[in-house]
Amino acid sequence: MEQTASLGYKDDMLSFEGFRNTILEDYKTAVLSREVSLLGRREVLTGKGKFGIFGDGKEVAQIAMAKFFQPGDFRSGYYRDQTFMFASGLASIEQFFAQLYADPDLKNDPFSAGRQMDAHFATRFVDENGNWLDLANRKNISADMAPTASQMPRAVGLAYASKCFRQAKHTDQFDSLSHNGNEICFCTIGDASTSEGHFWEAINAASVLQIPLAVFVWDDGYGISVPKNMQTTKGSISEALKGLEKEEDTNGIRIYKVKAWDYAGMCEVFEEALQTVRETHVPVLFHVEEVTQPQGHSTSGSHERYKNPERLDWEKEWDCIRKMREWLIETGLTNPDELSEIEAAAKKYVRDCRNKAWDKYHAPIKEQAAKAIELIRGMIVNDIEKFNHLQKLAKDLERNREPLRRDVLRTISLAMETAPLSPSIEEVTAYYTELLEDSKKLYNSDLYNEGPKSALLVEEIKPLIPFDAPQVNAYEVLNKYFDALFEHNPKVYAFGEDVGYIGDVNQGFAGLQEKHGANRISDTGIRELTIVGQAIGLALRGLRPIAEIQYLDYLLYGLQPLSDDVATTHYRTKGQQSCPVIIRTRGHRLEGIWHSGSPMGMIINALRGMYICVPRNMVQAAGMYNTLLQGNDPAMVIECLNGYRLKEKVPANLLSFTVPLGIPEVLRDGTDITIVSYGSTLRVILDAVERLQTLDISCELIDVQTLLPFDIHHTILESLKKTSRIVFVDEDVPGGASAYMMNKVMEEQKAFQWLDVSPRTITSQPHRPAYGSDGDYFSKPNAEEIVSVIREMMRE
Amino acid sequence: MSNDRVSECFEVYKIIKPNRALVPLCEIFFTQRHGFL
Repeated sequence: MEQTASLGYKDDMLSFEGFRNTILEDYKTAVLSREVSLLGRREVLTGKGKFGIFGDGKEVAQIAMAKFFQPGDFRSGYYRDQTFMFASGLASIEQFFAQLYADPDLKNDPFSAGRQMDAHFATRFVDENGNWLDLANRKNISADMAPTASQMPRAVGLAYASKCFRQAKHTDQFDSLSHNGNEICFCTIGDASTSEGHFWEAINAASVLQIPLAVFVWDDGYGISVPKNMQTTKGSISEALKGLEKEEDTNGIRIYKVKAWDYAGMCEVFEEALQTVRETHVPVLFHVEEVTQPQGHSTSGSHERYKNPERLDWEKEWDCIRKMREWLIETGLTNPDELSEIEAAAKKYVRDCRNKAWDKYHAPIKEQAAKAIELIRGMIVNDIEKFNHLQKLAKDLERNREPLRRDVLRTISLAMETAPLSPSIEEVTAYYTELLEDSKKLYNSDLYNEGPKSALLVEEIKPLIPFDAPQVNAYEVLNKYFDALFEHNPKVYAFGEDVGYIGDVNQGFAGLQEKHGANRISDTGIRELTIVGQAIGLALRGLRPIAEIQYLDYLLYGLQPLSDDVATTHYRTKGQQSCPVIIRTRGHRLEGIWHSGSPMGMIINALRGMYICVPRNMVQAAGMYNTLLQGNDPAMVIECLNGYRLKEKVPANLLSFTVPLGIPEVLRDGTDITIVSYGSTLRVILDAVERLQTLDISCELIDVQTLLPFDIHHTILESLKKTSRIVFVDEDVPGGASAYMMNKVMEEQKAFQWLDVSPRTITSQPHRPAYGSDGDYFSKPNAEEIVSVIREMMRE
Repeated sequence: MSNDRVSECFEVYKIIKPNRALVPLCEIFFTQRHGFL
């Protein structure tokens, strides 16, 4: 659907015909989109689609909105925006249905390759090699997500990037990414989702930052069944937000109210307001009222259950398409007959698109089924019962008019179980394996970059420590590193609480804001959720953000966007978008319940799709930053909170040395037992190892360095072959990351066969660490406990 | 609105003049097409 091809202008002049045709095209788009919603729902209810969510009732507002969405702009929206996508020329109706059917072919569902529910859109940001496309000249859709308001933190970041670009010193590297920061982030959200904390934090952050964010709130009066007077103060989001409204000499946000059925009125308001946003970077919120939802929330329910007859009648009367129809006739732009023709043609066109989408989706599966049937019928057995069973399996698959891939695989598997001695079993097994491998590519690929931008390809370059280098405080290693990094790489930005003016609470950035500019190294409010959001937006737009979460214990505030958004971006777009966020934080061990956490099990389970680095000191941390900045995957680096004032030496090759991911380092050779750990605990273990040495127990100490990925070349297994005993030590709760490490070594590395005694874990207590030195001692692993456990293991 | 823009819109205005509600919309489409305000 080309947005401009059908406007009907002649000689580049606006004519009455051109004007009229533009409006009729808009009406046609609205009607097409409604037909998509109606037919899409039927496809789900008849079983072809698994779940359906649609944008009926929001058509006209989104057509008006799309008029002002320009190349370079971004959208961070949600699952009601199909009409916007159609009107912007970024989605076709056939593609919409392909996604509804979960078509795993990226050519058919170019948004998610069947990985997302319908109406979860995305456009390509990076090419097959992980290079950023010329986003400044494209209309850009950041990949949609289902959790309500989860688009808000990312929207802040996408708009914040425009501010960064506008304030940056010009560099050719930015030419394809931004035109002087003129890009707006269009953000859509349902009225009920504004009750989420995400919304309020994002609006406040945007109002403080003054960034080009345009929020469209579709207000249809309900959050599924719960009416808005139970959702929002004063029953109106624009009224509730008044305190944040920009005044003449203040920052803030501009707020407009429009009616969802008022096509001309919305065009007028959107044009003027959005032009101002583009020029001034003052954010804006459009409260789009009187939205209807003709089919209810989704295919999972009926709105007749919670809307009274009066409301239902009102929704029919004020349906935006009906109102636009009346307006077209009243203004004399067209007549009922012409509109009826458009409506009939739309119905047929949508049906045709649906059929094409289904045929394309189904064709490869039909081929698989046919081949499977042929193979099964060719299996020779001399047992009549087995023969009949094979024939039945083939017949059942043949009778299935709409088989899924799993039906084909299940049928072949059953056949293989029935006739394992058939002469053609090898051929059948080979086909089964081939289908399984194909399915892995379709459904299990692209969690991380797999091409040239994989950080796993970065080879180790050891730090060069001059012989006579002085010992410095460890934070000074990072400070010198970040200074050199910001001098060298204009795409790197850092921000977080206290990161700017004082250079972070542990002085990693001390003095660097003054040197490299407040644009690049900046303070934020106390708002971890949108700090992560800022990072997401910058990363998606081709910059390299280092976002600081001040203490690991506060990560929980920012975990939702990291888990739902960052960690899934590459997977849910099948590699079309990369989000190379680096979260810098510090943890493991200091004081009290909320300044000494090490919830590594939670992190590694929530953040598959990110790399998790756990450096034992600041030199290792700097090497990890160097490695990560060469790849496109997101990562978290957890520095040791109690390590900043330890003494280290500054490498001479600060910007070029690397620490490879997934490669443990053997810190101490030994022969009696392998101790596996990471981070701050290593120093406690070293103390224990010295004491065990005096007892003639030789310990091999391994620092895993990264938990995701974990020991990809099985270094630990090699150690265990020598020692036959292993203990995993960390500061997480029992069953946390220590259990993960044990699982990786025992199951993946098959280390159990080399064990002489049971493997053990030494962890923190299940409760949070108590305050004070004794609290720490009795909550976290200590040297005495480690010595005691290892002596026990030696006696076994 | 600039004079240039008024004159180029004139053809449309002549037709839609009785219906003033359409005038701003016409101007918006014109801006969209020509890219300036």
